Amino acid sequence: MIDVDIDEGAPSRIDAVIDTPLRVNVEFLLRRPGDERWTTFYASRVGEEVPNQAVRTILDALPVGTQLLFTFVFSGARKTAFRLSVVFAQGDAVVGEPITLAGSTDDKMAAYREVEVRIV
Amino acid sequence: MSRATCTAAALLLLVAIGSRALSAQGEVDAKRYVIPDAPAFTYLGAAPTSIARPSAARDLALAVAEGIDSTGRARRGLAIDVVPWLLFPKRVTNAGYRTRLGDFVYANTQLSLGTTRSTGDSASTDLAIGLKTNLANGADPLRDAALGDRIDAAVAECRTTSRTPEGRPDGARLEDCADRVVGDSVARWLDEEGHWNDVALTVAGAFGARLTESRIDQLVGRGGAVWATLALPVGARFGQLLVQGRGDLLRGRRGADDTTAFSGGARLGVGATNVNGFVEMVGSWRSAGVDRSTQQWSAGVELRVAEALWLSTGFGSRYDALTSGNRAVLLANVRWNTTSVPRLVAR
Repeated sequence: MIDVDIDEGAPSRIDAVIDTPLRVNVEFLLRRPGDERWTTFYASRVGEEVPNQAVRTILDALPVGTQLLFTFVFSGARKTAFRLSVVFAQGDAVVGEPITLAGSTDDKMAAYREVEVRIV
Repeated sequence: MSRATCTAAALLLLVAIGSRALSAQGEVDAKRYVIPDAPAFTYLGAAPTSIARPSAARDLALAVAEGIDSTGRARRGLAIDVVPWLLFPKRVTNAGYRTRLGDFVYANTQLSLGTTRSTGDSASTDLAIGLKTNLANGADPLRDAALGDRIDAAVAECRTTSRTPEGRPDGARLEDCADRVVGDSVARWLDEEGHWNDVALTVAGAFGARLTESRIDQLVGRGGAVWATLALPVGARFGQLLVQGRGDLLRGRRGADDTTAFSGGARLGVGATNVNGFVEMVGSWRSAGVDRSTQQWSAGVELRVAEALWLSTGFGSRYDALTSGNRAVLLANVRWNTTSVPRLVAR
């Protein structure tokens, strides 16, 4: 789990950029402190609905302890590479380091990856 | 009777009337001309057990640095296989991959780098750099937008059924589900929609050099190799012609002549649900040495007699190499090999 130190009184902008020739199914979820269940706040089939594979979401102020889960299913071919980055920003300032991830579908037709973040 | 069945029946008839293996004029190593995954390792004749696959420029630099010791000499056993687009900021998207040839080639390019001990000179190190890419591939599922939409829908369905009680995606279950449904979709697209034999062209090359005394400032070019594979459809779904070749240039030592060599083959495969077959010709040629030119050929047919039971037979000098390891029976003086999966269809 990655800790992200943001101003809990301000909205956050999250940019996820995905590079791959694969089809990508994206779902972002959050769980506020005290919640039992995860709630989806963004979902798309990137290849079809977001052709440039760059997703931007805006979240209202997030209390400390909120968990965010960025999930990706890459599919369509074996042995095909992918990379992604998730960047938090508030106002015009980037918060923390970009979260990056790279991989391959290897011998499968699909690969699942997730990035879990905790607001501190 | 379909054309595929007619062709297979004709092949079967040739076998049944008493064909016998034709004597080969020499052995052609078919593996030589099949495009390798990592041309540098194949060129060196190396089979590294540990391969670095950097996904960032910094990781590549570190991997290369690992191949040089503190005295500036190359270490043997360096093996790097990299997808170059991961090292650069240029974006790769599915939309670009489908619609722009440049993006397709860029995304399919692979670079390999390897070192190994020089043959006949234990102090020196051989180095090779290889490149491989696709220039066309109609059988690539990522290039079909309609299939992509079906894949998206299938994966979305997996999302709904692969959840933990807390509503979080169950990663392992989701990945297994997506792997299965996407595999099924792609298999149907290839087989039932007839894309398995679409046009494809893959090329690869490797450049080799010798580092005398393993010093990186003592690099002498040794030659190189190029590979190409061209697949062409025969009829809409009837069959496929596969042409493969490899050319080699080996620089001569101390004023000796350079050696050039070529090996390659052409294979016509026909396929149907219950019967398939092939005819294949392979050959090689080199500019020096004995047995400078060799040719071989073979043909075979395969029938599905029951679920998960295939009977195959054939003839020609390379046929045994294709079916070695199968259980064999003699029926009507013809050797039949039995397998649980089709072996001979060209795909």
